[in-house]
Amino acid sequence: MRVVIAEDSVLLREGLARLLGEYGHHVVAGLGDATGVLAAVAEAEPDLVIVDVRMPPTHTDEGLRAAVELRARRPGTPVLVLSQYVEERYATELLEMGTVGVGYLLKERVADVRDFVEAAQRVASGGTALDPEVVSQLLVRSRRRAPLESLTPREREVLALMAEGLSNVAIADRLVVSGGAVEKHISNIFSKLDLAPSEAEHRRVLAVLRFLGSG
Amino acid sequence: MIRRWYAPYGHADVWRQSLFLLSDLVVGVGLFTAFVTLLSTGLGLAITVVGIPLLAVTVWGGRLVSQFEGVRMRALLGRRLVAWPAVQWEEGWWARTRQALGDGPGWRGIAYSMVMLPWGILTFAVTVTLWSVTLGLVSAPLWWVWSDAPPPFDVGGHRVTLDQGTLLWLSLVAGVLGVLLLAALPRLIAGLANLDARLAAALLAPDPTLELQQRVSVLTESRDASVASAAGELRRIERDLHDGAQQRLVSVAMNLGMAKERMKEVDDPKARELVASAHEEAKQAIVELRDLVRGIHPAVLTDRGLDAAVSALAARCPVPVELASDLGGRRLPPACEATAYFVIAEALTNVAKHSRARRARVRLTVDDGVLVVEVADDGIGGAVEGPASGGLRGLHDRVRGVEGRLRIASPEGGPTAIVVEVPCAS
Repeated sequence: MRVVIAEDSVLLREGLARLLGEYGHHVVAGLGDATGVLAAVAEAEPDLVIVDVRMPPTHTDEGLRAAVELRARRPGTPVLVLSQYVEERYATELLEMGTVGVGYLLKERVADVRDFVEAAQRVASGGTALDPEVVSQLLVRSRRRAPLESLTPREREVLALMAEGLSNVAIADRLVVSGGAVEKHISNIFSKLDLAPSEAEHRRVLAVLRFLGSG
Repeated sequence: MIRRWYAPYGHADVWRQSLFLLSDLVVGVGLFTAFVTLLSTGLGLAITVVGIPLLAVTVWGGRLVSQFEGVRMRALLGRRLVAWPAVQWEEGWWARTRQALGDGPGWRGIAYSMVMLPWGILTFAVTVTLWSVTLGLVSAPLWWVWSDAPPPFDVGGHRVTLDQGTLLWLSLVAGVLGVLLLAALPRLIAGLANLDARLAAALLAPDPTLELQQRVSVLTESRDASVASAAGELRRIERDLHDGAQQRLVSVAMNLGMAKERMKEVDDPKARELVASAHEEAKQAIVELRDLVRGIHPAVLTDRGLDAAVSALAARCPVPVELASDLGGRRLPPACEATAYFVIAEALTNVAKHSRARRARVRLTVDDGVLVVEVADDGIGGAVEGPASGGLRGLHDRVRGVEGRLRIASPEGGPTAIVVEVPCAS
C-alpha cells in the first residue's frame, strides 16, 4: 500500500510512517500542510491519503477541505481523515461524497496500532472506517428513534460496529461471538429497521448511515 | 478624659488644618489678583485678535486652579479632590479656543478664585483670632506673675484701680477659660477646614455621579479586558496542550503499540505484560488529557464555533437531546461563545445526573445582540435546591462575568428550564 500523509506534527508524521512501514506499507510523500495534497496525489497516485484536519496556516479545517476537494477532483481516491475531535459536520461533509474508501477517525486511535492499520487498509480497499464516537453521535442524533429503540442492546452494538465499517468477521472478532451469531443479529437489525439486506460491506454501511441520517 | 480632650495636639492634623486656613488668604489674594488681571486684560483686548485667545487661556487656566487646590488639599488636609475628566481637544485652534471659552470646569475655577479672596480673609482672621485669643487666655496667669499691676484707669468717669488680688482672680478665670478654649480649638479649626474643603469640592470637583459614571466605564472596560484575556489564555493553554503534550502522548502510545505487537514474538511474558500495561496507561492518559482540555476550552469551540461544539455536547449527553439553533455557522465573540458553551455543558451534565429526564432540548437564538440559550428537560425538577444547585451557582458566576442573565424554572416534580441571556454585540 502506497500512502500520502499530510500532518503538521513531525512527530506524528514520522510515527505514522514508521507504523505503516512496520506493516509493510510505504509512505511516498509526507506533507506538513494541506496545500500540496492534490499535487502530491497526482504525482504519486497513492492507494491511500491520510489527512489531519487541523493544520497550518489557520489551524482549523484546511485538512478536511483538502480531503473534500480531493474527493471531488479525483473521485474514489481513498481518504482517511484524522481529527482531534469529532465534528458531525466534518463527517457528514465527507460522507456526502460517498462512503467508498472514506475514513474519519480520532487522532488518538493510532495508539491501537493494529486496529488503526486495519482501518487504513479497509479504507484503501474501498471500505469505510468511522470513529466509534462519530457513530455514537449519529446514533444519538438520529431522528428515527422509535425503530432504534426496538433493537436489543447487543443488536445496537452490532449496528454501531457496522456503521463504523467493520466486516462480519471483524464484528464477530470484536464482540467475541461466532460469525453465525453476527449474521443472525445483522439480519434481525435489517428487518427491524426495514432495510434491504446487502452482502457488500460498503453498501451496508451506506444503508445504515442513510438510516441514521447522514451520508 | 482630660488627656482625650487635648489629644489632637499630639497629632499633626490641627497644625496642618490651621496652616491650610491661614494659607487660604495667600492663595485667595494670588488667585483673585491673577484672574481679575487676566480677565480684565482679556476683556479689554477682546476687540483685538489677542484678547480672545488670552481669555481662552485664562478660562483654561481656571482648570489649573482645581489641580493646584487638589495638591494643597491632599498635602494639608489629606483629602482627595476628584479630578475633572481630561479635555478631549478638538482639531484646529479656533475650535479649541471656543471649546476653552465654554469650558465649565475652567469657569468654575475662576469663580472659586473670586470667592477665595473674601473667604481667605475670613478664614485667616478667624484662625488668627482663635489662636491668639486662646493662647492669650491660657497664658494670662503668667502675665500676673511677671507683670506689675496696671496703673489706675478710667471707665465711664469712674476711676478703677485693680489690686493684685483682683488681678489674680481675673487671670485665673481667664486661664481656665483659655484651657477650655484650648480643648475646643482643634474641633473649631477642623470644622472650618471641613467647610473649606466642601467649598472647594462644590466648585472645583465634578458631580459625584459623574465620577461614578467614570468609574463604571473604567471598571467595565477592565472587566471586559480581563474576561477576554482569561478566555485568550485558556485558548492558548488548549493550543499548547494540543500541539505539545497531546501529540507527544499519542506518539508515545503509538510506539508502545508497535512495541506490544513486536513483543508477541518475544518469549518474555513479564516484558510483554509491562509493555501492554504501559500501552494501556498511555492510552488512558490521552483520554484524560483530552477530557481536561475539553474542560478548559474545547478545540471544536475555538475552531468551529458554538453550534458545532454544542452539537458535540448534545451527542455526548446520555439523555437524548434535541438541538435547535439559528446560529448556523455564525461566530460570536469568544467570551460569549465560551459562556454559552459552559452553561450548556453544566446544564446537560445536570440533566444527565440528577433530572431523570427522558429527553432534553437545547435552543440557541440570537436576538438584537443578545444570545439566548435555553436548556429544558422533562425530568423531576427541583434543580434550585437539589444536588445540582452547586453547579448552578457556578453558572450564575460565569454568566454574571459577562453581564448576562440566568433564570431557572425548576419546580418540584419538574420540568426544568434554564434560560440564559448573554450580550454578544460584535
